[in-house]
Amino acid sequence: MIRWFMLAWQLAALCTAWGQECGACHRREADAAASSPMSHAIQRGGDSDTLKRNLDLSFRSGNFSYSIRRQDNQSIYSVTDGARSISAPIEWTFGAGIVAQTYVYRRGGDYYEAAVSFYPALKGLDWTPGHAGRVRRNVEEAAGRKLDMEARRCFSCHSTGAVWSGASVLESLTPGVQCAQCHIGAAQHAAAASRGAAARAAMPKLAAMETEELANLCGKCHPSWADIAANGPRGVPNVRYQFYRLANSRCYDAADTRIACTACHDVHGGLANESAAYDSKCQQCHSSANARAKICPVSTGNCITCHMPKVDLPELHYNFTDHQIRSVRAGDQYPN
Amino acid sequence: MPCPISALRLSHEGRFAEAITQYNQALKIQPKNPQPLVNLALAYYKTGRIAEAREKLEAVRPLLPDNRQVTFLLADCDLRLGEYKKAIALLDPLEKETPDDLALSYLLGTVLIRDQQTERGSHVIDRILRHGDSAEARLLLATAKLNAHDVSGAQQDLEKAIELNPKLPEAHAYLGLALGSTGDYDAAAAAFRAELQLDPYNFTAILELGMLAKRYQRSSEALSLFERALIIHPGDPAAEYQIATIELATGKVEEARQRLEMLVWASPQFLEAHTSLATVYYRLKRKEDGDRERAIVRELTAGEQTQKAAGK
Repeated sequence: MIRWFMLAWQLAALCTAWGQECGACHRREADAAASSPMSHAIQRGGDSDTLKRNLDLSFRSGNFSYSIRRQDNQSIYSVTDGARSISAPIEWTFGAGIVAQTYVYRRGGDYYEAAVSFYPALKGLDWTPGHAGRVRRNVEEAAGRKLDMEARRCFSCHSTGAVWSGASVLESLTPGVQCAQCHIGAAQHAAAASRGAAARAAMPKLAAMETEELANLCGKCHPSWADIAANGPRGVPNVRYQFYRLANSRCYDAADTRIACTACHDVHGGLANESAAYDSKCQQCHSSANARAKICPVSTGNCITCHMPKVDLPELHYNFTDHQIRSVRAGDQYPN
Repeated sequence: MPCPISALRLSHEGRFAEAITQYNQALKIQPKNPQPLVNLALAYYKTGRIAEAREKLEAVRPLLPDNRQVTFLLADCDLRLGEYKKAIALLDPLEKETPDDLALSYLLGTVLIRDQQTERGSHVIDRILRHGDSAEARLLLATAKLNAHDVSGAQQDLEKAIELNPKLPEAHAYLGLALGSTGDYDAAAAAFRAELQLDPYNFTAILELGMLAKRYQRSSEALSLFERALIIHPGDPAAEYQIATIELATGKVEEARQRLEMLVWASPQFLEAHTSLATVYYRLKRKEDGDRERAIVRELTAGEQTQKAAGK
């Protein structure tokens, strides 16, 4: 038992150190990553910026009333049907709060996903995806769904180096997507670098990966083309699965890195919100310098505003960018 | 020659493997003797070897054309093997003879609903409901609701069915399906395990538990469950496909390729298999093959969408 805890402690300590150690040599990437949304993919309930800004949230459906209220340094999630109530401090917040933020609380040693999430577009609460149609016969069922094995999946993508003790994740995990989530062998590399022998523990160059290989790597957490193609959803709800949409584009080429995720997105930084920021990426292929490329007859800029239209997902109260790059014509049906 | 006494005793004691050996020996001497054939079919059925049970029942049916139990059991095997139309063809004449036979109505209703013959299935459910609230009727209603994507309605009917009869076959498995479709994977796993407590050979529960084990990256547990499913339904494409996905996830890309190529050859419309095959080809750096498989997936998906739109 003692050996197990020693091992868990060492792993956790190593994980916390990764971000700092990597930054000693890779300052630009580490600084950018520290403020990126992926670094804030999970926060402790008490630390959540979203909850610090929203001190009193409420939602009502049928007989049940939901609230999240700030008390001292924590946010308390409560559900009541008028006769009975349950309350628990929010332990973890999932999501950086750009699209939504979902809450996890604990009861009787088990983790539960709260039935309501925060949506910035509403500046308030609504059903967590998948909860609207659930059976709610009492306050316990109304409050949320129990996460058992499922919790491990949630934490393994939203945090780095999660170590489990029975049904509980150790507090020493590093919140957010840190270097070691993608860079396999980062710990050995950092240890070797501290001895001045970084070259001896060189890591695989992710930048050298082909488009499809990269998609598989990111697909460890973001559902891949194959996940959605095989299991759905079909129609508009799949707009939030960018790999699936992108791979269905006519211009997608599994070997051409000009259409890889990293061709447009800086994974160490945040998302660029201005459409013009992506023009240069489109022009990598669609420019007069490329004789075989189709050139847009309408505009030379803001390509994505037409060719990657925004699609509203009412359930998530968010306009997602459709990554299926195409010529959109009025009256066209949403493809796939 | 009558049925061997020792084989009957072995079956009674639940020692089916030994009983099967003895029945087979008896049938070598008298291959047309109906009693050991029926008992052998029952032994296969009880050990989850449904395809073999079906084969024996089909052989014995011409010998016992008026035996309703044989026909009934054969239809049940067809239901378990997903051969719904064959089951309906067997049950239709029986229903005309005895429309008030509740067990028959229940089986026929189940087959009709699974064959998406919702309207006729609903008539059968109504007939069952006229006899009062029953676990069987609730299960049937739930399967109809699941088909119509009313998951919470189905969940409530299934919970009521289990309350009325905790040992009702398939009720826990269907509850697992309903819970799984709402993302309640842990509760779904518990329901599938409850089904296996009642019937260790329930194909759906074994397959779905395997898929959950795969979801949590417990590959060897998942693999053994899929292999167990294949013993019940030899060559079942869904179980074969799941094994291929584990091979792919555990780096056995070549094995996955062979299995998936067989699957798409046998079932060219098997969208999931084409999907995984595309991934396999890309991993093997066979880009052109990967692109071709991806194009097939797009075509199948578009066809699916067109069909859905036409159905509206």
